[in-house]
Amino acid sequence: MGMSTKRKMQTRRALPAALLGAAVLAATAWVLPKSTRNPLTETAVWSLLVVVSFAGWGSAVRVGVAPKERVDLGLRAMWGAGLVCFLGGLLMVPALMTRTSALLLVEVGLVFALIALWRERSAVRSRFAFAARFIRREPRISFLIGIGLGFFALHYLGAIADSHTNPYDDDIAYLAFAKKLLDTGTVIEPFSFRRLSALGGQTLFVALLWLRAGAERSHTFDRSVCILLILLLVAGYRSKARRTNPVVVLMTMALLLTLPVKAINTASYFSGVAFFLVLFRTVAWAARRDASARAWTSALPLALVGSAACTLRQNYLPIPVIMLAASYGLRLFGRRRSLETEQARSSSFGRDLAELLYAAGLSLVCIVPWLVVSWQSNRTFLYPVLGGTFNPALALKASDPSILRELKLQIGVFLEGVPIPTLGLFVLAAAVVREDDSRRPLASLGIATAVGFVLMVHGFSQSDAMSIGRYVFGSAAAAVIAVLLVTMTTKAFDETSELPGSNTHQRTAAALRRRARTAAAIVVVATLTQLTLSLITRTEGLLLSDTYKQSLTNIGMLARSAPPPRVPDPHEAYLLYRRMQDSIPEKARAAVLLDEPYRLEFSRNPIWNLDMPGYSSLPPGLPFFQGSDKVEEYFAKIGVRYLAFVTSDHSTYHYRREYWVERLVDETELWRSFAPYLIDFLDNLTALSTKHKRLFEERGMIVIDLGEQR
Amino acid sequence: MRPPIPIFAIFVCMLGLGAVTSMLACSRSEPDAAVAEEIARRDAFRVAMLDAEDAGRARSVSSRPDVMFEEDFTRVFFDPATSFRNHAYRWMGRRAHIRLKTQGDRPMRVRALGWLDRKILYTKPFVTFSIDGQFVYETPPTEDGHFWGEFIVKPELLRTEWVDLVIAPSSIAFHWAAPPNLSVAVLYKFDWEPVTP
Repeated sequence: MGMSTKRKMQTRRALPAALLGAAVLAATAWVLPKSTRNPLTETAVWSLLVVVSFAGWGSAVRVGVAPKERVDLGLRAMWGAGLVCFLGGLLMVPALMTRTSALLLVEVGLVFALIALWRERSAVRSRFAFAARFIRREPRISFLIGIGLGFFALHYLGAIADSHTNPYDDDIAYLAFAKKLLDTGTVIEPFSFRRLSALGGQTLFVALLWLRAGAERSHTFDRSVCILLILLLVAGYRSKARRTNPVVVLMTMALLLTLPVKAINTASYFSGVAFFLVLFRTVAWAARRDASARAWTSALPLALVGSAACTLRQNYLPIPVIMLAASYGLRLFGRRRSLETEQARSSSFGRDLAELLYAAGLSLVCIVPWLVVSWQSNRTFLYPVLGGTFNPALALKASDPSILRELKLQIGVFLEGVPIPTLGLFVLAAAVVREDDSRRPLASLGIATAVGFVLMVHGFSQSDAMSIGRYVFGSAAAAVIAVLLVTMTTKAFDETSELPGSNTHQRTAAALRRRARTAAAIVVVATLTQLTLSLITRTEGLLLSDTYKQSLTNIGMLARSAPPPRVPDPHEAYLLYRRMQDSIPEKARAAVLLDEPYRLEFSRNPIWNLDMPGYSSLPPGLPFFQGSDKVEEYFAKIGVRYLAFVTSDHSTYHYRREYWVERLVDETELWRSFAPYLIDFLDNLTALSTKHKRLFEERGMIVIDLGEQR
Repeated sequence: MRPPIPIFAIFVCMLGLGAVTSMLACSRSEPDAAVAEEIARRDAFRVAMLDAEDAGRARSVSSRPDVMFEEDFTRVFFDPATSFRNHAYRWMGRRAHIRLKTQGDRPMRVRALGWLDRKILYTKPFVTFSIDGQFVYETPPTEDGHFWGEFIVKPELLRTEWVDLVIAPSSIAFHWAAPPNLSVAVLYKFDWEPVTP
């Protein structure tokens, strides 16, 4: 073969990778410069680049831990997201996680992705070749996959185009956290209950998207990017190195894209599914590895994704811990029984124990920056175990802690709260199926989900089944997908798998096959039932078809909308907030109770968001039910001179006094307990505003100077 | 020969555990007395606020720190439905259950006002009250269907922190539907307070 022919072949082999690399470069060059672009296209391109960046970081992890092993795109992207989460937390400790750092994190990930593309160009080509072969051989399934991808694109763009944010959670807190993170490099909010309730991983990810997406596109991370990551994890799943049947991938895709979305805000919902699913997949990946692989190399990816899951929501914290403990526990004791010789048992036990210690140690290392930032913000390393700035008078447990009530709530959440009515059938299938490997990823995820579920319901018994259902959805949905993948791909299900040896062995193999078929049949029935229920059940009064139609309308409107000018922001609301903030001297500390604090410039003033007054405050504790003088004394003591707030007759939603007076007789104990605090605080602010100089007053927004009398 | 457990792994683990332990030790805890005081102030504020806002009727049939409405009660309805300041009530069923918090060995007074739709019932029912399964009181409704139950619960029946009160109006069981959806009995006032000497 001549040199030119060889070069031509090399060029042909590198072509798919080169094309992908060129696409990434072109998209980066288009989206990075600060200019005006159509928001739909800009957000879609940027969000995909963030996923590529995650994959780049994940490729770097792969080079470190398993340079010669095949690691699929989904696993890499999620490992990368875990690493980005760790780095983000690390940068937040010295308040360096600013807009520039966020941009750098994404850009460095893109560089890693391009390097990985080049290094693995042959593998990229073989994936393309496989896809081409598959389309030729299976045109009907390819057509169905095409339709599925079409629905996915609709879902992806629909979430981007959904500009509805929750005035209760997002507008007053979550969006402000993302803005504050980019403005100040960290999120220090000692008065915010929502800040206390999550270490902040979700805020970091939303902020990464915000670099080019903006506040109106804040659903992009959870409902677009995370769904894509989940699908990549499903598509990349292997059972004993065998590809997952495309029909199984299609089933999972259909299940996922039709599940009723009960997320009411931008907090973690699908991101929980993605991180728990990758935890399951990483345990399964570690189980397939060669016994000679060094212990820390299996432990590191587990630590990255496990600790990242912990940062998303406080109620996620026990799940990765229990899952890894269950996995290692089952492996340690299972292997001790199965290995023949004492020497083999001892060697295996030592290696497993070493890996367990590495996983525990590295997980702690990965989560410590987030715990430190939590301390900086709320004087606690581990809420709710340690209250920190939390007000214990507003405990979240029901005041009548009877076992019967607890059981009723547990059952209520399981049957009505989690938006997967067929959950019980998946649990049944999980009980029937027998896993192939000693790490038992499915059993471990199942145990962790069950314990996490019970703990969550127990700890938040003041709330109702529907609200708690949203919090436990992440692990429950991940477990359902895991059951689907395991039962439909287990080796024992395969007719051709034969165990050699005696009749006993063959009988065992036959029994295993029967169990696998039973589990698969249950899962098929459960999936079809779930699909049917999802199609005919109304969520918030809407059928699934209505939701997709609404998405199409939103996409169309956003696609046609004119690109917004970037600087200065022309929105009247921003200008109003700017005027209001300008009335406060630069660098002076302020505390705010506003409908849309995300419109503030947090780099201009140190600002504390009062969020839901009563739940959290700096020592000695914001005084309640003691009059406005005490409140004034308190703010003077902690160095707050300026208070900015919206009056209750102008508040768009959260700070309407009349609404909270009605909540005093609400059926849910949570609101009955909280309502007095907000009413009292609003009344105190009104009283203070009559005594002190008003620096600003426009459209119900008032700034008062506590240092000057009126 | 390499040790089975690398020293570094143990070191990292111990470091992490040490860090977490010291972090836990540094965290602040609130004294219980101050918490109890704040809760008492909050409850008093809630009562005063609802009365000041002319919503006392809703207060008397809503769950509160010492009274929890449970099964066989609907949510609170208002008549007219436009404001929580209007006449407030809950539909109740055959065995309407309320959890009541006791106050040590103090006798407590129950005052319950309700109404039964006798035009639908075609009969004269009676209403019984029992605490933790023990009958304590019975009252018939008036001609227009209103009933008034007021009685003192002796300390012997209040030995646990919470007790179960069941209000059972007779003759509201229909074979085609389950109460409280029948909408034939309501509770529009419920008080639970210690007996003052």
